[in-house]
Amino acid sequence: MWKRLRSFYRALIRRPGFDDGMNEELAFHIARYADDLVRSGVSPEEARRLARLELGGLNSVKEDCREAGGIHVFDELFRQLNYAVRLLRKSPGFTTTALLTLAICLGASLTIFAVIDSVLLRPLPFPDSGRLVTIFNTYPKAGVERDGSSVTNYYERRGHIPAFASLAIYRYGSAIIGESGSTERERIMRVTPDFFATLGVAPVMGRVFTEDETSYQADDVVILSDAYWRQRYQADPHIVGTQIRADGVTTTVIGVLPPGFRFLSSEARLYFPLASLAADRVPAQRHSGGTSSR
Amino acid sequence: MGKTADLLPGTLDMLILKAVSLQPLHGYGVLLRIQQISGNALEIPQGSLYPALYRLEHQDLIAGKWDQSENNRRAKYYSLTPAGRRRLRAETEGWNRLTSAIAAALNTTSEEV
Repeated sequence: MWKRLRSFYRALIRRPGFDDGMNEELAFHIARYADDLVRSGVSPEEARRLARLELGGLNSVKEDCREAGGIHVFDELFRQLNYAVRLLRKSPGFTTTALLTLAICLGASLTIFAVIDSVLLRPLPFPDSGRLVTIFNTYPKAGVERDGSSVTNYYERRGHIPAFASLAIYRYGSAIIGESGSTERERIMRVTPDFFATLGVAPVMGRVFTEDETSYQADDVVILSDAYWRQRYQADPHIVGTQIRADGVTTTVIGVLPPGFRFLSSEARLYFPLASLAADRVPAQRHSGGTSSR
Repeated sequence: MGKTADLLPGTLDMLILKAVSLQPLHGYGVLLRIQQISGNALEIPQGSLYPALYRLEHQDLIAGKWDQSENNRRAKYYSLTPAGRRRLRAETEGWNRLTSAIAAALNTTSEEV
């Protein structure tokens, strides 16, 4: 197998110029032989004729040489490919069906692999990811297996479950960013201060949220993702401390996250504190949300 | 020119290897050299010479290199590769064993049986 591949490769690199070299070589042979014949007394024209004759059919000799040099494999392959293309062209219905079938099958298996790869094979992109878990609320009697937790749940659980070193709650959302007239809707996440520490990620610039910033009125701070910082602020090194407008509120940038930070499949580009009323943190009504913990 | 003999199948490759082992030769030179070293007793079919050269080159037993010939035309000169040298040695030994065995067989007289 290895030998055949090598022979194939050698023939491949020699294919360009093969015919030129062969023609020159055979012409040289005929000329030299004719010279020798002339020297032995044959007329020049007769000598050339004899020299060609002696070599045998020039074309069949060339064909033999191509075969001996392994070159004919390509010529044959090329002919066969040509033939295949012509046949396929003749029956466009069949060709289209076959191509579509192939495309769909390839696409489907690629998609399935991509999902399995990200869900099962690749570890979470966080340090010590084996210790990270997501907590869901379940309501067996209502038939709900996985539901988000409320802010109340979160504050009830935080610090009271010894199995978890750190517990955070997050909520997906969107916000209108920018001055009126040039605003853009951005995907955001609202998270509690322990969110980044729970994941083991620290901002490359600035700081994370404080507990004080989870109260309304004090929650006018934002942490930017690396991508957002680069796109919107051209990676401004003095971004921390500047103010942007988010949902009409003047908000201070307090940090920038490391490049590549991404929470699961979230496409959030800005992170805000998840604020709540102190009254809502004691057992009361249940809301929706989600918790991440470890 | 005296009597000539046809080549046995498979012997052309061996003769080419031998010819280019003496000095690098172009195709026509190989032809002349084989005639010379065989005492003009062997007739090389010219049509099979070049396919044989290309086959040997493809098998890496000889290597071709373009160079200026004696009459100032460009010609492809073949020389033996290390693999070709090993092959020539093996073929020579095999040939010698074969011919001496056949010669011994053919020279047997009825008294020796």
